[in-house]
Amino acid sequence: MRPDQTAIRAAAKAPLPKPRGSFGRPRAISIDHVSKAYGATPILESIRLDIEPGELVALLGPSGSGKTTLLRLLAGLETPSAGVVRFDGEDASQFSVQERRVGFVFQSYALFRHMTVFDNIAYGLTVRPRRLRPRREAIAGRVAELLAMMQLGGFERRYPAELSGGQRQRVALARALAIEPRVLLLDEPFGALDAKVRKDLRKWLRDIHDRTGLTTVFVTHDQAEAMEIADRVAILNAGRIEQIGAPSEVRLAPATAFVRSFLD
Amino acid sequence: MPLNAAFGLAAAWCVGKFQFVGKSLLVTLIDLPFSVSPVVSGFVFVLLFGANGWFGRWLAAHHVQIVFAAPGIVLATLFVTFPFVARELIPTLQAQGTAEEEVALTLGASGLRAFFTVTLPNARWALLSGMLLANARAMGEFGAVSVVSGHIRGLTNTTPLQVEILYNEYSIAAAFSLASLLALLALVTLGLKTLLERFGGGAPHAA
Repeated sequence: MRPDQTAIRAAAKAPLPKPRGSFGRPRAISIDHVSKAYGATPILESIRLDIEPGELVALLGPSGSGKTTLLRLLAGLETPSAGVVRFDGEDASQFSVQERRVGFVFQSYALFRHMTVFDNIAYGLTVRPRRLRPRREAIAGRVAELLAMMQLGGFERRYPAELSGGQRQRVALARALAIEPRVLLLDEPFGALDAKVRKDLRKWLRDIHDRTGLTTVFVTHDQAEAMEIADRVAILNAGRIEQIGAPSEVRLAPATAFVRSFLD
Repeated sequence: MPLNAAFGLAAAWCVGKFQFVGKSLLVTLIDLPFSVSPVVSGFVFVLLFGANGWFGRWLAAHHVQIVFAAPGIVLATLFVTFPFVARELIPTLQAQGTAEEEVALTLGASGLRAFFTVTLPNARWALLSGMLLANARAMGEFGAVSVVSGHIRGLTNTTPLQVEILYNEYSIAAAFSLASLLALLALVTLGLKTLLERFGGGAPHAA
C-alpha cells in the first residue's frame, strides 16, 4: 500500500468534530427537531431538547402527549420520522437498539416471568457474545452487587410473581443497570405503585441517580413527582414541548397557559 | 408434528407480535383448514400432485410419488392440523405483549436470541397443548387422508381407514376394538392436555 493511501484512510477513519455542549463536553443526549407520526397522525412535532451528562430530566405531560414515544425514540425502539437524536454528539440512528446501551425500565417492568430475579438481572450480561461475556463468577458478583444496592438481598431465587410491586420495580432497575448503560430511561417508574411506596421510591431513585451519576430521563404524568426529583422538567402537550426548565423556574414563571393549568 | 409446530409457531409469532398489512388475510388463511371439509382438501392434493395434476408430470419425471403414498398422507395431515398450534399460540403471544422482548433488545440480545430466551419459554405451554391437539387430530384424521392415501393395505393405511375397511368387511369386533383403541388414545391426549393446563398454567407464575 502506498503511503498517501494510508494517510487518506487514516483521515477517513478519524472521528468527525463533534458538536459541543456548554461545558465543552458533547451533550449526553441531543434531540434535534425530532418528529414522529404514525401514518397521518402526528405524535411528536419538532422536539428540541438537550440533556447534559449526569442530568436527571423529567418528561412531564398528560397521557397522549407523546412523552412515552419520545422515550422510545431515545431507546431506539422507534425511529423518528424526521430529525436527529445524538448520543455524545454522534447520530444515534447508526446504532441499533442493542448497540445504544440504554437502560430502559418499562412502566409494567416487563420482568422475564419465567426467570428468577438472579437470571433477570444477569440477562444483559449472559446474552453478550462469548468473547465479550464476563465469566460466570464475574456475573454473579455483579448481580450480588446490584442486589445489595437495591436492598434485594436474599431474593435472587424468587420469581417475579412472588415479589411486591416495589420489589419488581427495583429488580427492573437492577436489570437495566447491569449492562452499565450510558443513559437510563424510565417510563412512569412509579406509575403502578401505591402512594406510600411512590414517595419512598422517589427519594431512593434520586439517591441511585446521584450515586451512579447516570444521565437519566424519566417519563411521568405526576407533576409533584417531577418537581421533587428532577434537575430539569420538560413539559409536553399534544406532541410539543411547552416549556423546559428547572422545577423552580417552571413553577414561578409558567411559559404558557397550559403549563400554568397543568401545574395547578 | 415438529413441522407443524414450527409453522404454527412462525405464523403465530407474526400475527401475535407484529402489525402489518394483510394480517387479517393471514389469519383467515390459518383458519381455512377448519372451514374447508377435509375431503375437499384431500381432493385438492390429488388435483395438485396426482398423475394428471399440475405437478404430477414433473413429479413422475423425478420419480417422486406423493399421492397414494406416505408423503401424501403427511401433507394432508399437516394441512388439516395446521391451525391447532397457531390458534393456541396467537392469544398467548398477544396477551404477553412485546415489552419483555423489547427489554431483551435494549439489554443487548439479538432478535433471534430474544425469541428463544424470552418469547418461546413464555409460550411453551401453549405450544405443547397446541401440539397435543394437533396430534389428536392427526391420529383421527379420516377425510383428507382417505382420498389421498388410496387405501393400499399395509402401505398407506392409517388407523381410522383400517376401521372403515374392517367395518365394511363385517369384521365388527375388529373394527370396534380398533375404534376403541383410537378413542382411548384421544382420551389419553385430552387427559395430558388437562394435566398440562393444571401444572403448566400455574408453574411459570408460581413455580
